[in-house]
Amino acid sequence: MTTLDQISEQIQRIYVSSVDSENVSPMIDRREIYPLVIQLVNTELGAAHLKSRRLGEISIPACIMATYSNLPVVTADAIKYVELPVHPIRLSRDMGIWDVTPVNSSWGAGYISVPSGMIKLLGGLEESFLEGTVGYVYEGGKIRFVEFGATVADNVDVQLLVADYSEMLPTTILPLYADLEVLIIAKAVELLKTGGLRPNWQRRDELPEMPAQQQTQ
Amino acid sequence: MELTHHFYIDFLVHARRGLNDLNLDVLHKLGVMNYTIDENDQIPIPDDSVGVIGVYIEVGDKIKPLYRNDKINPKEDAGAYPVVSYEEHLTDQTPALGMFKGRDFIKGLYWYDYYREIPEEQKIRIDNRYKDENVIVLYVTTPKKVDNQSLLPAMAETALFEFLVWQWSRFHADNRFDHRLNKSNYYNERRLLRARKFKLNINDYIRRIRSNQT
Repeated sequence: MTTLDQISEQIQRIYVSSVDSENVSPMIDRREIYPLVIQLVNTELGAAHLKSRRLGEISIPACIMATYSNLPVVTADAIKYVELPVHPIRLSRDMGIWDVTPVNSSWGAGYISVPSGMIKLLGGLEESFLEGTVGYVYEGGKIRFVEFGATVADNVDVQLLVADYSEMLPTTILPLYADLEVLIIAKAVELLKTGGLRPNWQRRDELPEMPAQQQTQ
Repeated sequence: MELTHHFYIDFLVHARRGLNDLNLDVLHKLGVMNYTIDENDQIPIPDDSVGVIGVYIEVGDKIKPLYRNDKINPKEDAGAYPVVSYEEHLTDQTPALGMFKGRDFIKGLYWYDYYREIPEEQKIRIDNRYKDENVIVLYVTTPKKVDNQSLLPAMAETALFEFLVWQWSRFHADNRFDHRLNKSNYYNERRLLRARKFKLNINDYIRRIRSNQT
């Protein structure tokens, strides 16, 4: 396990030792690395999930599971929704929103995830199957509730899969699997060295000129 | 197959389709109706029927099948044969021992009662030699539409599970070429379910599989 400050220091040292110090100033503030590390954690854990799906399994990055308790359900124009404090990572089937439950509810009392594109089809088609349940749809930073004969609670608990930078201190243990730490360091150093751009050899204007086509007679 | 509740609605749709399929093909229920023959020697086909299994007459505490014959006249009263009941036939026409011999042996025991389905009129025509007033119709009922109150018989759980695995590999998994194997697994489970339901023995089951393969 490592803290946000420890992994940022490691990135800083590797970057300084690897940069061409004669031409480029190696100075970089560690506080600039903090958000970069969090962003890379979110990116790489989402990529690991997609890679596992390609193998036929579903691997949930549970290390970044964060619970936001007692969020109020707002009603506007007869639509009930809850504002999310942070956007989750992008997983298939909106699994970034891991669970939505009434406050202090027991296991199995959660609401049902409805795929965003399917909500229009459900009216009248599958409604009888979902009678007595509450579904939710993820729409632009909100969770919209769809009541199939049951009523949504006034306050809900939401579990999201996201490493939230606003909740994190430099001494906080980084929510990251141990085997992915070196990947985060390598990605961060590469990003700092290239300034966010692609390497030169990938640029179009750096490619060698193509030989002229021979005229065939 | 690892699943989360985010797949719930997809699998709900697939499970409904699977149970509909099983209801139609294997888990169908039989209906029994007792009808009085009308003046046109006809009885109605029940409204919830998708296929008539047989028409029977009641003899004591047992039932005796009538035989299907699509050659009898659907409309007219043939009137060529004497009208007798089954009991009268047994008492009056039972041959004396040794009366019919050789190729005539069957004649004395032959009881020809027929029925014919007229599906375009939702009617069953009963052979007019038949004298009793009531017949019993055994038929396959229309499968009930699956809803959230539908029950899955315990013996059909494996078949439905195999259906879900097949549909999962067909529509959702990245390697969709596996679905052929899963499809054959489902059909085998369905055959096994059918064999269980109709109490066939293992030889019948093997014969059924072999006949499907050829």
